Amino acid sequence: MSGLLSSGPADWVQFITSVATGYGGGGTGDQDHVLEARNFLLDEGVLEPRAESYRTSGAAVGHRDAGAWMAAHEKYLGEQVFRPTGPGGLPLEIDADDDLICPETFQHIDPSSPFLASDRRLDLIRVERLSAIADFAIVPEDRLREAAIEYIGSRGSRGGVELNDLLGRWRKRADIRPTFSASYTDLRDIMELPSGWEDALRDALGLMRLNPADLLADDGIEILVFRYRVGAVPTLSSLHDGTWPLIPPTVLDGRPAAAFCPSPRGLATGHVVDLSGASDPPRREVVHPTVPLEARFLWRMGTIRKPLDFNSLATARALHILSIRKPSGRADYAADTDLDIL
Amino acid sequence: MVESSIRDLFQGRRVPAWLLSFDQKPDVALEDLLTGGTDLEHLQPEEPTVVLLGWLRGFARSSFPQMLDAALAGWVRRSWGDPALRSAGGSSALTAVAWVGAGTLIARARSFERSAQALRELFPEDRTFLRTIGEGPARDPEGSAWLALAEHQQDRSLLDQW
Repeated sequence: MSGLLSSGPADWVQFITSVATGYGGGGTGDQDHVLEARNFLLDEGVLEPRAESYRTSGAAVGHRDAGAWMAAHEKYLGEQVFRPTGPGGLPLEIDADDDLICPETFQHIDPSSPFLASDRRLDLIRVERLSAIADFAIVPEDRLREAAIEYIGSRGSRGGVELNDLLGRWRKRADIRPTFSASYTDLRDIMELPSGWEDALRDALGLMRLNPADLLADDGIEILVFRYRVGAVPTLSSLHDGTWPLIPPTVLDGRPAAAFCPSPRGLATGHVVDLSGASDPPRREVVHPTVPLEARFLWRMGTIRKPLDFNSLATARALHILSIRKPSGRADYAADTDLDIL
Repeated sequence: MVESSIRDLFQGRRVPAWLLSFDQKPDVALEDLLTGGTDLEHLQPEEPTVVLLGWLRGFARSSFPQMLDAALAGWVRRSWGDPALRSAGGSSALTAVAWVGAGTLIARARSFERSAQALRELFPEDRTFLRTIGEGPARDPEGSAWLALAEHQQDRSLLDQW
């Protein structure tokens, strides 16, 4: 295991290793955080300053249980990664030297990260739950739904003012954090499905949080799909013109997730774990600073109806690992952590 | 709400562990959720208060909303004036986030009369506390509290405050 977080204080190493090896096979793998712990052992994208910061925050210790680990991880995120905005709200340019507003993620970028120089016209995709936006923004869900329907139905000619007003309240409350997005090009086949594209998109992006059964949402979960160009991503003062802070996600960029698997260092992007197991070729994902959502980025809306198949998670991860071994040239990637499922 | 009724609602599907914890120890479970110190399993990547609001919709016809309202009212009274909650690991940042979440819950749940009343009794009289733990628009407990009170106001008694 070559991830920096696979070493460190002995009690941490013992804790994370014991969680990572608790997988009994045939289960869901997420109830006991086996897969999340494996990601911590595996992640080569965590640079030394960040590993040190995680240790300093008190998150890399021998926790009594997973809940205590989640609490310590949240404290690390709240103090180092999810950053508050200034009076102007979400910035379009972030001062990388200002650790009050710049997430640690973007203060320590691997200089060899080749995706930084992406074409500004490339499209990125982000999926949000409609009710989550309404709840977070404290706006009426019906108004948001109606504005979105009108905007999409009129191809952007109507409803934009209302929608921007509602999303403006979201923008005002949003913090600056690493935001996950995927490459539109890699998802085009799914978006062109005549029906069921929402379920397929949820699975392709590994969005386990969007499971109707968890929320007793018998009518399904309504989603909004935002599509924006790389050029809409906030820039970073430490990067020269024509580059954007688009980097492979690491375990330290968000809350632990079972349907996440870090990519080997040296790959341009991360890759989503496809819950359906259709991982070849792997679809690209990156993190970038929070993009201020606007009506013009709203592209599709729909409803996720299919329940998640938790039993397929281990298989999906295994297929994912096999698929990223090829482009990385690392035939033994994750052999130390995931041999039991490969 | 008892465990059997929670399981009935899920009709044999897996029940999120937090709901069972809340059923046993509502005050502890809610405080852990607000301060980010809870294990939401595969829902972990979501904002905790947003997860909770999703459950509120799903459980609208059960006793869950009343239980949650009572627990939140207790949390508001217990936590008022503490700028670095122990349950937040002593983090002022997470304490601010917890108050933003509490305000969001009260604002979004129109039936949360007890917690709205608790906030109403404490907040307009002493605005300093929430203002001092705020960190800009994205972590604005005072703004969240005003939004919560605005959603619940039934008369013009707050007119002078606006």
